[in-house]
Amino acid sequence: MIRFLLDEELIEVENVPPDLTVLDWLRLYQRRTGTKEGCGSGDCGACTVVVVSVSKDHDAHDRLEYQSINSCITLIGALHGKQLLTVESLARDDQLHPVQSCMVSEHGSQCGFCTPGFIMSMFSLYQQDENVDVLKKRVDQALGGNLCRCTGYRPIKQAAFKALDMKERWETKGSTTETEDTLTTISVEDHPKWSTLSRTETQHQELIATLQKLNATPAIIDGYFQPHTVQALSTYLIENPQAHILAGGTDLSLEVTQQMKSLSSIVSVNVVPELKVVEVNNGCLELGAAVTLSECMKVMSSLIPYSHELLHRFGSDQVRNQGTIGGNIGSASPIGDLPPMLIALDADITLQCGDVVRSIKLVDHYLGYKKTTLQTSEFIRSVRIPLPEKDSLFAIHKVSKRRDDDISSVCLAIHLPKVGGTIKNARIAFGGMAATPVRAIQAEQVLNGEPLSEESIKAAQHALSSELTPIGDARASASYRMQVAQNLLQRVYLEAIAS
Amino acid sequence: MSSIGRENTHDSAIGHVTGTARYVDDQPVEQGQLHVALGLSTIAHGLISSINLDAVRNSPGVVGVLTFADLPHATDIGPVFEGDPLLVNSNVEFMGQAVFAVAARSHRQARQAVQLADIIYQELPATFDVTEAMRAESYVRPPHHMARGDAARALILKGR
Repeated sequence: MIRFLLDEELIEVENVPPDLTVLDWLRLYQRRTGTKEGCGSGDCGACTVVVVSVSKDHDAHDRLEYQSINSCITLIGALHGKQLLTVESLARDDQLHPVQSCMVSEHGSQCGFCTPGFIMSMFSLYQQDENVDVLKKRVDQALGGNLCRCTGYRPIKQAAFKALDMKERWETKGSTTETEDTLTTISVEDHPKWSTLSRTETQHQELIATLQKLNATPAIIDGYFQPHTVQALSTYLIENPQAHILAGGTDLSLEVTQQMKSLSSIVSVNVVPELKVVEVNNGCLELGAAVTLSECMKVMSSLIPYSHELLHRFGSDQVRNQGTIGGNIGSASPIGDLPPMLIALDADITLQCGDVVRSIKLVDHYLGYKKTTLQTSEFIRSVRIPLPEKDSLFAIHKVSKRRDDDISSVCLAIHLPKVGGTIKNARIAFGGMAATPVRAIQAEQVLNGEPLSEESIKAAQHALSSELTPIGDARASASYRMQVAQNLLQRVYLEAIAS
Repeated sequence: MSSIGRENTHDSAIGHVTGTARYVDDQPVEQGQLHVALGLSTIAHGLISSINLDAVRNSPGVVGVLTFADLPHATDIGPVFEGDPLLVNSNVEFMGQAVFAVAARSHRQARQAVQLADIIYQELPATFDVTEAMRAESYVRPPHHMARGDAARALILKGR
């Protein structure tokens, strides 16, 4: 049984295929059709819904977390122990939520097909426990996973800003009765219904308790298993070597929605505590494989320079809220966003098969196109990332066709530790330049023992052309990729001398 | 009441923002309703040498398969000019052109069946960019010119 709340209603799902998506469950099983299917691959955001789960705040208190996700690539089991909110959830007693009324008054919809997704992304932003100034800076990020093809983004963004203004007015003025000059005339008085403060403290605690209780029950349907311990996970994989390992599912689900395959055996790693570890030990960041990219973004931003810049452009909020570091490593795509950074930092990964645990340098894990050293029944347990020294040069540059929500054409991560002005142990890693994420070893050797200069960078650029042979495809031609890779080294040099 | 000078909201805006605006795919499903998926060409230009849809017909849930030969009446759906065939006869003119249609008990079954088609194409040269297309004079419609007065001369005069 998969148990979750849809709005306030307890839902118990049984007798469904394990690869049923949340979108299909909503549209086909519930006939709740406000949530739209656009691309069916997590790129357009028309299917965005919000899941509410219990997490810990800074003081280790339980809190409710509101996250936008793409329902088209989320499998039903992922809802276990959570509350699902859709575009139909927001208006109550004929009163629109501020994000809805502002989309109306700012003319933020035209054909309206992308609108439910935008509404839910805005709603998740609105619900964050941060002050409004911080949230306003996050509007682009929150809407980065939603595509609009006819209205235009200006009125949509304007609606988000206006809704946040309304939130601020409520928070600062409390229950004054100032009237909003909007079509639907929401008075600030009505705001408590929608603000995070809307629930009384008792109701808030009740929801947390309900979700925790649901979470503690086993999430099992035919073909879907969600173990709570690493032991149970490893045993299950030994007994079911054909089972698909599910973390965020942002990649795996595409087999269901794009290739029309059926996944009849799935094991979720999302509630295994060992796979959710976040620790800093001896200058290394240790992350469990099921740590989400949103969580990575939070923890890495202060520890690894440039990581925020990269993670900010990794998919979208919807993808980062689900996708995991282990999934990004395990899918072994040559254009995965994290591997170049991890390889440049000389990360290693720990894998487990039954009771056997082994570690391997990430760079050595990749054998060929989508081929890794992962064995049958084996899973990635954690990633250990040596943090760059303060005085070393570390940079990451991703080049893609679109700034947000796009895949790399070329991604460079470079780590140049220096001893007295001379480069030592240079590590240069690329995505998009070979069948796997790769190290540019010749370019590294050219730089080692040299100062960072125009000449040494020129030599490294030259080395690239002899050691790497990128492919040309719809994203970028081979010659463009090589040119960009070389130019990125130049950029690293120019940035270094400018600072 | 005049709309001039006042801001009118979109008639459907409240439907859009609450998810109640109904689109084609949101219509209630009739009992026994069939769902159609299209089999699309996988090349940009060429001729169909052979097409075998047996596996498609035998796929679970499939009730019917239509090809060009099954079309009873008009096969060209170009609204103004001809040249927009409903399904490919033999000549494929772009990637993703509809070659056949499958009706099945569910949309997913129809989409799964579509993937089982066995089509062999004889590929022909294709044009992929504007410059190339201009050189080959490969136009959607024959070019035509519209002019009033002597535009070039008028621009020169204006320039002074």
